[in-house]
Amino acid sequence: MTFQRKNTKKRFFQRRKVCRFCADSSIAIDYKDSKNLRSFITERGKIIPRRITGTCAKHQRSLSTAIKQARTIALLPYVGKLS
Amino acid sequence: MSPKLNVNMEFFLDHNKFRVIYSLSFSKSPEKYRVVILILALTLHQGFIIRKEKRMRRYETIFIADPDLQDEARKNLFKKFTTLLTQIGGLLVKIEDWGNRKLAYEIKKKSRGYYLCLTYGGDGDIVKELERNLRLDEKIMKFMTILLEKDIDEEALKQEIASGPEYKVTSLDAVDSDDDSSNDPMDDDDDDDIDDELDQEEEE
Repeated sequence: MTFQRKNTKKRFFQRRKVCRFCADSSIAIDYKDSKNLRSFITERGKIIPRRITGTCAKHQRSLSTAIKQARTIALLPYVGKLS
Repeated sequence: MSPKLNVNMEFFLDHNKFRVIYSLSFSKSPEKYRVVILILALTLHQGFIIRKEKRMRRYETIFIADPDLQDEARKNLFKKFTTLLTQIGGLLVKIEDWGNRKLAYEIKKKSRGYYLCLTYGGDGDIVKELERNLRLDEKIMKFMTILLEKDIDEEALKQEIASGPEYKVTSLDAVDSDDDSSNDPMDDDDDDDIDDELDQEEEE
């Protein structure tokens, strides 16, 4: 019992995620590249918060701008379908 | 006692000669007012000088045309806008033909659209004029202009496009797929619980 509790508590300590764009500077954030941007939105089309993806603040800012631009020109959905 | 104060200024703005005459006449205002008005006139003049140094910027305009158009009609439509752009003084750098693509959402009851992307150098007035024309055309379903770069060198750009604008065709590729089953950005299992949390949030 006590062992289990210890185990659940341990789950809160996560490995620090590294920003994908900082790790590899060759990846540019581009609104036309909807294929890559899709991995930063949920199935419903919402932007995934950076506490989950681990993106740094600077890149999350440009990422969210890019996603919003892609939405404007119908490359990404405003509201995704519930599959 | 106070005489008429005339300020005559001549300067050049985009090859057009503008003549601005500040004719200020006041009969009985004291000396200090005259100074204030002089300063006002000078700042106005300064403002015009600053406006004169308009720098070129690099823009990108994407527009979605009606997918049901015939090839010939579409070609004419695109030609119309590219010629218009050069006519109003834009420096066309690149034309990207993205082809017929699936849209992420319906526009004018249509689920597909023909994308064309123009990269060019110019200023705000050119964008304004191009967008006005795009808005007037019924075959254009949607458009968007993005500022790519401020303050670019006009001469360098002219040399770049000396051999005419680059024409690039990006055919239908994997981007066309519209299924929402995207690969998750996370690959470690540590954040399963947060994922669930987010999913719950969405279902609400």
